[in-house]
Amino acid sequence: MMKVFIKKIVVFLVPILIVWGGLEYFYITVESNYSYKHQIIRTSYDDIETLILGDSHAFFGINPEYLDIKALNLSNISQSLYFDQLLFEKHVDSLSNLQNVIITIGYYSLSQLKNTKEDVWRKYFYRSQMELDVPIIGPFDFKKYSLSMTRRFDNSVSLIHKYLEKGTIIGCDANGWGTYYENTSGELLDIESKATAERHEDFLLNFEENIIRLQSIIAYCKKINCNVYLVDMPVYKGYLELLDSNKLEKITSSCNDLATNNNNVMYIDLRQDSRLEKSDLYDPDHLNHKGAKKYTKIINAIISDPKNDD
Amino acid sequence: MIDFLVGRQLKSALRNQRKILFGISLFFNLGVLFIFKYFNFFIETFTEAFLLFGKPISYSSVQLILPVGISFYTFQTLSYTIDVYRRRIEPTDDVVSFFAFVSFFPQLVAGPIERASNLLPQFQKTRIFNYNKSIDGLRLILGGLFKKMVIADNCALIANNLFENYTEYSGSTLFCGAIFFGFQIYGDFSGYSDIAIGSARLLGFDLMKNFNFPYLSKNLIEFWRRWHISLSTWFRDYVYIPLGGNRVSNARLIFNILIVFLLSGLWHGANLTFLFWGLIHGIVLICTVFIGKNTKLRVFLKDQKSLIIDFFRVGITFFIVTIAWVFFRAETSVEAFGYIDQIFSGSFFSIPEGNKLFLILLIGYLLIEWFQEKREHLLDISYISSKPIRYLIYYGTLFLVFYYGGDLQTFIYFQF
Repeated sequence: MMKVFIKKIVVFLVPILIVWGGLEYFYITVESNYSYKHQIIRTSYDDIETLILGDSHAFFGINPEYLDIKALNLSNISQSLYFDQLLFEKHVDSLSNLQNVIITIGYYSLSQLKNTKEDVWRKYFYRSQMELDVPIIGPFDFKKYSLSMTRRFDNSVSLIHKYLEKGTIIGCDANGWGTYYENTSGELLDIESKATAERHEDFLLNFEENIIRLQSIIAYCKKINCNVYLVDMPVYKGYLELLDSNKLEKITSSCNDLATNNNNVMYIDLRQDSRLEKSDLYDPDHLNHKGAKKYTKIINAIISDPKNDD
Repeated sequence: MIDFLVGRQLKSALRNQRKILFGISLFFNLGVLFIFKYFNFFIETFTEAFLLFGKPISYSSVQLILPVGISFYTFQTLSYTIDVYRRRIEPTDDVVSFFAFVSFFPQLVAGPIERASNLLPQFQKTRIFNYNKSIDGLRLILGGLFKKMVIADNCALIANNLFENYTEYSGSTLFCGAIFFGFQIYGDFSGYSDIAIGSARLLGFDLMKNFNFPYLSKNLIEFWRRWHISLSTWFRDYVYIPLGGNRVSNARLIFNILIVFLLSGLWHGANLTFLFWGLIHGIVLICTVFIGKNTKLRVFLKDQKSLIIDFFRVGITFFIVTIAWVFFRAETSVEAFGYIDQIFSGSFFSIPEGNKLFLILLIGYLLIEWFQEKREHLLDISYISSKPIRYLIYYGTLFLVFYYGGDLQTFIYFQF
């Protein structure tokens, strides 16, 4: 009877294994933002003069097309400074013409811990599709061998659905800029602000680990005569008012300290920029296409002429 | 180890020695439980009581990490000593079997609280592979995963938000929040029990049933025969009956029931909220018992063989249980009373906010339970003769688990 039992279990598992294998094949063969960006940077090492790092604020908010010098946006959704540093260290020696590094600093960038909820699945994609050596993935973590097991089944299904519908799951252009936050009227910003602010509140004020990461990037950039721009991207006023003002002050002072103590660092604080219009925003803390164009041009003007940073 | 040694000594000890040995076992079991779980609660309550009378006293609390499942295995070993002391079971000389009985992995952290008379002999006999039992074990595990990942984890997301921000919502929404928590704790705990029983069954062990479709109960007495059965029967056998059970005066009966439910509340945790939860159940149960004793009112508890009357009785029981859950879920008693106050405000009859479809689906789930009520468990579908239909149900359930499984939440009963 035991043999019959085992046989039936195996037969029962066959369709499940087929689905699992299919998902695995999908993740291995279909290009994602991670594998796409990895491919771009590897094929344009000699061209890139500006490297953009950061999370979704950089991914959707800085469009390299509007920068005067050749840039690659290597940021990604929920990309923490932990991964910014890993990516920077992996590629910096190959970027022979690198002159600028732009890193966006948001409300939670400096307080964000490594291995957060967001990293639960993303870290495996950085490892598999961007060839990063990710220390937070343990040696016995079996998920590193199966990308389909890192994501929820419903997310995998919706990705496949998107692929079948659009023919791709890549959400950025050839410069790495995130393309799917299209123009909006901004009418819902007030309603969205509360939920967004609550979601972003981590009640953490310890910036030490992330400051060390930034200092490490800055020190290396200094060695290769490269400038670092810490950019606080513009956000909706109603959202800003709901955030912890002490934390915001601490972010500003930390970035100012880095800029004061390092002559290759500049802090571009656009958080409360008066030029921001509702129609520039996709949601309370992300720019849409129009806003990205406008603010990339502003950043470009500052980088091109640092003395005129108004 | 103390319980094992006490059990062995009880076998040959004389009357007075037996009492001393039994006392030693009780002292150590309840002592460990008290220090880990209740010391801070009692010391803080005493301090507050002294403060009320204007006599502030200084105290120091202990900072201990609560061992997972301490309440479960303490009660399990206690039942062993009590049964040996009462000569209901023979003490074991097999130390390996005894430790396996106390630390049997499927039910170690959250039950069911097993009795030595049921589980201990199973370690000592030869186990032979049983095909039907193994298949049933897998069905139990699948049903448990569904309850935990689809029902409990999805309900948790809604209930957590409503309980954390209860001042911002209408009475009707908060009542729905209490319902969601009711389903969360049911899915979470009964799901765990099903997985534990199913895993044990795969290994050839039979654990006691812990849940029997409790939300289909027609009154609170029935509810406690169907909810956390291993704990309620424990209290029945080791507290309620020794206190005299129901063959006592009315006043003593009220006392006995209240003691059992207050202890049951306290068993869950050192917090006033659990005591209030136990008190509500105790009071309603006392009312139910006295309705049953009254010749004129007894008719309300009798089976009327009418679906409509059954539906109303299930609804009323569910309503009471749901309101009591508010105390179980709230962090403090102030928060619980605030939540209840908000529920019964004028907005109780307004249209609730949020996901109404999910609420309808939960009611639909209860209909499936109603359909399966006479069966052993949710996925006991051995009576379906068509193999394709059975497999369709298995794969369908598996799909729901993978596709609609909510964000992972810790098992609630692990904290007890």
